[in-house]
Amino acid sequence: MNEDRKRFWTVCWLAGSLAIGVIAGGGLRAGYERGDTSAFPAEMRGAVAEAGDRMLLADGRPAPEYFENVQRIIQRHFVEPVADETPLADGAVKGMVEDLNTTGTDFYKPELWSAMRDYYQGRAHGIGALVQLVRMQRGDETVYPLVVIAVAEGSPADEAGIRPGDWIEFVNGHWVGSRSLRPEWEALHEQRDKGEITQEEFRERLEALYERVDTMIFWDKAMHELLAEDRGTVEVTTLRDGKERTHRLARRVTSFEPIELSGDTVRIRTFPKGAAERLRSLLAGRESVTLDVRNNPGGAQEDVLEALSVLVPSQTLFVRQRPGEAPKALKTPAGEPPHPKLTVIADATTSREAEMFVAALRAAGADVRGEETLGLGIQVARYDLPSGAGYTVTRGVYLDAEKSPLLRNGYLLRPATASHAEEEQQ
Amino acid sequence: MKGLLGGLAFLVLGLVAGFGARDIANGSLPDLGALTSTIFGGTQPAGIRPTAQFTSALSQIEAAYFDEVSREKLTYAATQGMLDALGDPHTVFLPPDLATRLDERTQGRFVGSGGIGAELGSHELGALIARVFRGGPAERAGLKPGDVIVKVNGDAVGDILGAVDQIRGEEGTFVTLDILRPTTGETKRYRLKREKVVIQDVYSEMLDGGFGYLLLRSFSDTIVPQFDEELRTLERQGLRGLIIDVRDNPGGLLERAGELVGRFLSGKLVVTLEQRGGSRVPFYAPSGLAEGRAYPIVVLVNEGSASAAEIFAGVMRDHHRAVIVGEATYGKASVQSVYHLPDGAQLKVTIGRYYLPSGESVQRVENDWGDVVRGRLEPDVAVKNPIGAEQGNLETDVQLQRAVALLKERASPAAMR
Repeated sequence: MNEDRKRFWTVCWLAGSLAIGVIAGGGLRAGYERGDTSAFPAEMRGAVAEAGDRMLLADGRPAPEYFENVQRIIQRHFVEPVADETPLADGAVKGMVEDLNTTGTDFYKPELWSAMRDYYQGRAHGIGALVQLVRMQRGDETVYPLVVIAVAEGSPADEAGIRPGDWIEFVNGHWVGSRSLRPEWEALHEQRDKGEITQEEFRERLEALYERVDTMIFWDKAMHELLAEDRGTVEVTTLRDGKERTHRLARRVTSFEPIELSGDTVRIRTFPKGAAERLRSLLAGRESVTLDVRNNPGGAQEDVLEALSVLVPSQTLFVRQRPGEAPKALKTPAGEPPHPKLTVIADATTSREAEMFVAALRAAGADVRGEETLGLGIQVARYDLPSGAGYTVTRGVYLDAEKSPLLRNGYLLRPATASHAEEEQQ
Repeated sequence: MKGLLGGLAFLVLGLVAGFGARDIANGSLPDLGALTSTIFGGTQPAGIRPTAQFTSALSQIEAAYFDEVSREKLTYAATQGMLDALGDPHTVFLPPDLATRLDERTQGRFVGSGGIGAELGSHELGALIARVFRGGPAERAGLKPGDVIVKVNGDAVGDILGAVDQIRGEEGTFVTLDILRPTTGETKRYRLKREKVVIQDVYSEMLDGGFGYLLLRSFSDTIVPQFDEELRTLERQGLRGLIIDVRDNPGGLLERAGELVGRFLSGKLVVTLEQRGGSRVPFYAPSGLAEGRAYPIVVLVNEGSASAAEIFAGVMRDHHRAVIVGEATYGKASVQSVYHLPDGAQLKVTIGRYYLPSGESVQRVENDWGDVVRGRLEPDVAVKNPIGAEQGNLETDVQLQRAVALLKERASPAAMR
């Protein structure tokens, strides 16, 4: 069972009867299904291992061969012949990525993957924002909010007042399942026990909670509706400081300049490809400059490092990769002088690689103003798939100049209940 | 089969004509090799090869991911992910540990040597008590469906399979359960003696006015003699109408469902099975077993009624033998085959679909919002049970109340004699 499903069941704790209906119907009653119980087809048992000693499972079987056996059974026996195997190939990657259940390790379908790439180049689709599924610690629970990390200026989301840091709660009335309903459920019972609500009201509100679980959608569907469609409208409910706000937004493409000079301030909204060239041309001949990196979700690591090389002499940054191992050094390319005197403005809307950018500038002696960055400074690798889909893998956590991780404010790589979790917050 | 072959020949000709004409117009002769592979390449599906992509993604993840990964776990996850992409919720992969535990569960069915006589379901706070068996330790102690087991012998309950393992034990030994009753919010501790639990698939009760109530828990292999015995018991008391309850019945064996249909409908079509490639096989109920049963019947269903339970209800309705009361069913109209992998994992693959006598498929189809857009068996009389209603208890079970009311309308005075 992949992590998304596991999470689904976790969230479904209210709908106990639903859970048993589905699980019993689909899985637990395996022995009661009609159908021939065939032995593993003989011709597959004898298949020759060609994978050599590479990619062996724990018990010595080659992973590709194991996988291929399953794929061949589907090809031969599934009720509908599979004409195009691309979705199966992508499904396999999605399954692995979701099984890791890690912030920053996600699978994206083609439309969403390309829409997200476009954002970094200054073309925002849909409501004109970027959102990310994260894991967070709230009390003794792990929650999975879909957090807005950037909003394009002048976009529908911007006009509606949606801000980085907002949580996406509902999309077109469907709950995104970002958090456990336990607190609401407990509050409901408490109100009834204290006589603050009637039994009738209690029932109605309990039914509403069931309904919410019943109509829940997964984060990737929600993200697709918000970020990958350019037409029609979408209704989105956000959560900020415990307050829900609902907006109906007309989706469209919003274009913006990723890096722009206004007065003495360079506004860096993302780190697009060629960010370094752009900065070099804007900074030519200036002795001092202010860099505004608020509302910036980062970009590809190599683009950020190159941008740094234009601003400061070579810096050594650190990333914590394998738990328990010493931080790994990350050297920015040697820059070419002149390096202007820098003032940097950042705040909690500065996220991911942009946080590493700020930490590096601070280490180089820049005057950093504003507030603490978001605390989601994770290092990710991005991979394209032939179908146009893509996935990201979490490589580690960036460290600041004091070698303390830029993963803060309750953000987690993995649920706190998972093993090794304690190491991540060190 | 003839028709299919004809169609294929036509397709081949069409392709040859199309390709050939274009090639000739370009001044070259058709490449017969290319044509052959175009036409007969059907065995090799188009698109990205899943194994190649899986292999390269696995290497990339292993190299990039910040922590150690289990190759085995990722391979299993990839396998399930590939099956998910088929869009069929019943084609699933069970890794070895899960497959083994499920086998134990389905063969021994919760029992081990001793149990508490309850059926469990998932719940975030522990394990949900979905059913309590009549006369078993759980029922005698006052446990009710909907209760949640939060601790077993003082230990917090993990997943549902873990809970089953914790609860089972030697016959005659004791198990301590902390039970939360969600309707009241109270948690109480119970100490139960484990007993040998005999699963009853059929339970019957005579209600007032000569109306019989028959509960079918699942269509297991041994259900038919139990059913006949309970039905005879009811009929001996003078049956004016019958309620057959298949709510939360997850299904079972199609053959058994067909045999039970034969108690009320002689030799009628039960379902048509459609296999890969389109061949259709009808399946009939046995004949000569429905004599002298003219009383009206109501079948109770809800979202937990699946598979064989839906067939039973749907067939009874399609042949106008019963009225269906309750809520829309789960919607499973497919047949699975189980493939055993060498490491003990199992692969359940949908290999066929079935259709009710009306031609309807109850197979649930959801859009990407999760809304059911097709399928399920809709009741003739829709009645929802409120939260906290106890199934089978006439005081709170609104669906059962409605069923009794319907039977009162329909029961002929003649049958009262």
